[in-house]
Amino acid sequence: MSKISQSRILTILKTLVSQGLLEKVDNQGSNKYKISEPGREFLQAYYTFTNFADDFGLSI
Amino acid sequence: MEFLLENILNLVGFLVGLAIGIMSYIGFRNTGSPTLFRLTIAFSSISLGFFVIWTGYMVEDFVTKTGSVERWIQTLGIAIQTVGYFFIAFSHSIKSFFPKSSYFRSVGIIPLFLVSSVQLEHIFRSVSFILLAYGAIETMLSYFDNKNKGAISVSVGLALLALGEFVGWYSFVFPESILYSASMIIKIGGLIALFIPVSKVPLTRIKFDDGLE
Repeated sequence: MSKISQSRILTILKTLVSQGLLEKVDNQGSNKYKISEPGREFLQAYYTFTNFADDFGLSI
Repeated sequence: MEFLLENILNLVGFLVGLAIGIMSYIGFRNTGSPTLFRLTIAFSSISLGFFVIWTGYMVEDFVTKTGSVERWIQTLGIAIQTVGYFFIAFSHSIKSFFPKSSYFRSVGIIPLFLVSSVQLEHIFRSVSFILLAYGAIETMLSYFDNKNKGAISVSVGLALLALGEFVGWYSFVFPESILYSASMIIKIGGLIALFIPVSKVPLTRIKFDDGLE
């Protein structure tokens, strides 16, 4: 994480928020992010299909 | 007996291929993974290939009643299956030889088979055997890397399909022997082994999400 520049991480966070995977939480002037419900579902699906691809000796 | 086994094999192949193809497609829709897209093409082709041959047998049994399936239908079905086996082997070759190549990971290669022999069926069977053996070996090697037990089942499944192709090819040498029936039983076993890990995927937690690009 420390090797990612601030502008890069902001771009990634903006993309994840725009896709509904993260939620921006305004907390006393500082920007904080938390995973959304669709984000949790995506991670669950990603984990499931990583195992699925592993079964075929492949990686996704 | 052979007719019955052939029907069972093709029906099981169609259903197993369809189930794995649908699962791969759901995975592709949810994750955008090119690997899962290739698996979708692979198992859709395998399923379609079995379906074509099964349809040929059904048409022969209930409509034409000629006593044997049209040769071109059998060849077409096997060719479509071979394309599926190619995509399984192709996915492994990308992983092994081009692990970081964004071009091969995203675009892929459209398989092209240029053949002009009347022995097309034998050629396709031979190619299928090589592709299946390669897929089985690569899958088993991946098991040694990650110790995922599902990989053993898939590897055994692909190996049995390869063995079935080999024994089936050998039955052309000894046409009156039990080899052809044995090859179909081996292939059915292979398809069941392929389906075992897929049957354990927790379907209740998977859904399409159109909001995710």
